[in-house]
Amino acid sequence: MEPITILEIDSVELSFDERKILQSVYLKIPRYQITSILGRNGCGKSSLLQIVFGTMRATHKSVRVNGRYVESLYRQGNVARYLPQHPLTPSSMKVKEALKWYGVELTEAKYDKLPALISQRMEELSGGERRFIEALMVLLSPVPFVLLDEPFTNLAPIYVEALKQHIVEQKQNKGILITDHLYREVLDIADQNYLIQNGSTYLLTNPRQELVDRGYLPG
Amino acid sequence: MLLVVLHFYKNFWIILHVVAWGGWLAVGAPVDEEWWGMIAPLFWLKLASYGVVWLLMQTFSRQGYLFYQNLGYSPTALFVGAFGLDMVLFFTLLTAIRWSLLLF
Repeated sequence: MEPITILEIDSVELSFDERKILQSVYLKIPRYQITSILGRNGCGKSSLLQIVFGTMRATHKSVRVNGRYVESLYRQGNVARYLPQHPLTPSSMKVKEALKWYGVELTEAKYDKLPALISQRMEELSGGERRFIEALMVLLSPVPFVLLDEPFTNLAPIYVEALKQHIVEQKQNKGILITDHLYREVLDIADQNYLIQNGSTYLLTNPRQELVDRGYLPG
Repeated sequence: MLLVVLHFYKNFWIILHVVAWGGWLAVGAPVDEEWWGMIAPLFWLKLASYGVVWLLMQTFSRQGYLFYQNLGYSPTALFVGAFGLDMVLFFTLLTAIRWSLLLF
């Protein structure tokens, strides 16, 4: 079977009532690269990730894996996993059970706090610990693509650094689509960056300058 | 698939069983000839309570589906699977109870 190497999205249109949120969107997410989406609050980043994953309906969309159109990415089996902004795992589920469901193994050598966390229920973890565990659950999943919606939210700096390191490591196996407001962290690790502005995506060739020019960052 | 459905079903199985067993007890827990006449109303009662569970989850807990969608299962597949499982469990238990009461 041909290895999965590229995920493409185009012709996305999304409207709420009469308001157009997304139009003329094009994203190319190559495997073995980190692709970022930046944009102001409410510009449609999270909606776009959900549309790509297949959990939100759009007026129009075309999602292709290796050039082949797919109606719903998440139903393709083990092609992609998605970390939403909100908690992902049922609160009553134990950490080790959640990791097992997602086919992820965390070694104690790498996570000194793991023995203390692994037997706890998700609801017993702090917000940051839960976010970190869930981000790892998705990131380390045995799939070729992962979509991360604000993975750094609620994380202490030490976890942000650890997660960045993991994202970069996982690039060896996966295509990673990430969006977050911690733009410095994102720009540090991303191979290509898109900005959503006025509902359209722009591939940035000189990200820091263009983010200022396009009004995402203060001048 | 069965394990995923079972896990999903665990979220609301108690409600469905309380309603269905409550319905059976409310009409006097029949086990003789009247038992056969109870099957259709119990089926519709289960379907209605299942509809309420679906509506509540669609309204208040749509985010809860994502854990399963990441495993490749759609909400429709989960609900259909859980409904089938619930029907099999309930009517198998009901039949077993009826036989036990008739025998002893």
